[in-house]
Amino acid sequence: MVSFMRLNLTHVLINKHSKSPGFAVGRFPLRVLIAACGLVTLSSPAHAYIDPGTGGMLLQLLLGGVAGVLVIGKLYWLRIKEAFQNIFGGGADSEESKDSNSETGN
Amino acid sequence: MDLQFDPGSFKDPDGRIFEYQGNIYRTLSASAAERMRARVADGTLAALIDQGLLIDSELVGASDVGLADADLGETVMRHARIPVLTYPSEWSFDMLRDAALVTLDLLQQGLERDLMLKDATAFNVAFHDGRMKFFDTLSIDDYTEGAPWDGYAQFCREFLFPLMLTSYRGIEFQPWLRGSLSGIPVRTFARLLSLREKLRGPVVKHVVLQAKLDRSFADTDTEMRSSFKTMKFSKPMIVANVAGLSKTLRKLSYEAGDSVWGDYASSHSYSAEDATTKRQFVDQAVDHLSPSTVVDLGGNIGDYSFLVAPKVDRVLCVDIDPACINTLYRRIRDGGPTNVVPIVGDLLNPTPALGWNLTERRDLFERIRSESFFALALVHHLAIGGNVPLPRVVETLHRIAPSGVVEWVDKQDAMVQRMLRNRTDVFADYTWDVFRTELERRFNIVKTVETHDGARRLCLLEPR
Repeated sequence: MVSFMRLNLTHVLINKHSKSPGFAVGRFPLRVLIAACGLVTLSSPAHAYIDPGTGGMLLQLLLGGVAGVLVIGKLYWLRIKEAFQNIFGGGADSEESKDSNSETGN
Repeated sequence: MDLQFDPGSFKDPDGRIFEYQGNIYRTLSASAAERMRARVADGTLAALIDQGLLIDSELVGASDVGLADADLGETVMRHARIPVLTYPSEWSFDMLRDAALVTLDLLQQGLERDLMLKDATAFNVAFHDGRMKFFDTLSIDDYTEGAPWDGYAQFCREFLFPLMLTSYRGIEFQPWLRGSLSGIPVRTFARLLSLREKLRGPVVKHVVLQAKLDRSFADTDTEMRSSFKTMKFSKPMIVANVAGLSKTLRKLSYEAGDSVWGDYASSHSYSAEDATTKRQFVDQAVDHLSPSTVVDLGGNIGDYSFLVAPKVDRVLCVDIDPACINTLYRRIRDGGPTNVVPIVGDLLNPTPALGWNLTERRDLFERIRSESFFALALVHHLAIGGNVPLPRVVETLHRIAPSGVVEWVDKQDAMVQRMLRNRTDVFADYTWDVFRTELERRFNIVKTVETHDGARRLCLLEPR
């Protein structure tokens, strides 16, 4: 069983006052910029025939322009945040948040 | 019902390749049949076939071709037969590059019609009728607005990185592709490049950044796919990426710096008279044996393959040197005979069976078996260069074809002397008498002709 967290930037945008530590990025300028772009479409992922590869997918986002750069920035930001949470005792919250946003697959 | 499913065709649940009564078919799932009918109706398949990008393919009713009882659904796809399938590790630089460009061209044209390729493996392409052609019709899928190009990373691993490795570093890619059926992983490739190469524009983009992102996030649980739609990722972004890749590929240069054989035609040891004798001998041998298929072992840039191509159905020209096979491929592409198949292959270490159950990709010998072989100026490379005893050399030639032409190169020959110049001569059994005895065990020697003042002998061999 594998659980995974979905990075849904629309979720970030809509849930301004989310208590979820995973998305509580109130001061992060990302959502402001995305709002300016008007990107509020909810999406459901279509599945690929082959594994598109993490680097391959993210690079295409990056080449896609400003919005893609922001997604990558967001991913790095989440990583930094997670590191800080682990150092300063936020690890438990982080796990909880992961579970609350998780889907279960096999 | 005698359906022979291709053991290498199992990954796509939408359809499998099989052979029935000498024809090549592909099963189609209900959804795949619907998609293919749409592609026929809107003229996509015909357009791609007309441009020479896609192998001849047509939809046929299962009952119309005698497959009503096979439980394969109403419709199957019939493909042109590719008599000898060669693999990317057996292609030369320009063959792999052309295969890449065919894939990109197909994708570009597909996107114009709201279509996508669902994968981008080099195994979707084959050398057929003198050029690289796409044959995995089921890879042509509907495009979902906002989705990324799923095959991008695979395209890089199987096409772009091997070609960059050869072009930038001067390292031939064939052994790398033989070692891995899924190409060169991005992080591995990034480690292979020097700092200077990493500063090149396309390398920064497709290698350095991709590797960095892959390294940073491959182990995260984050689902990224939905971000594409959210971020309004769109078709023009894929089109731009594809156009950029195409431009990058076209700019890659191929210099066969270390090729031993690339210049063989102008540096070999034949006098004009001996060369004429040899050509006549080979020409007459083919008239005598009248084979429909010939394999030209150690065929160099294909001079003898070209000589006999008009007289036979097919010639497979196998050579160890990728530079020679590249030259041969260019000659074919630029108007040469389309029934010559160029193959990079080492007889001392032929492509083994590879992949799942060792049946996904077939070994070289299984694919190149022919009615006749040419082994011209080859035996000394196997026997002295490779330390293979003469009986084994003859046994293997016989395994590849039951008749043919072989050239004996005596120890006194200048080429053999050069091979022995720095080694101990441990080849006491390397004599014409031993060779002739071994030949006679498996073939009938119809005639022999001497060249090089007796240092070489051409032998015409019939089945025994």
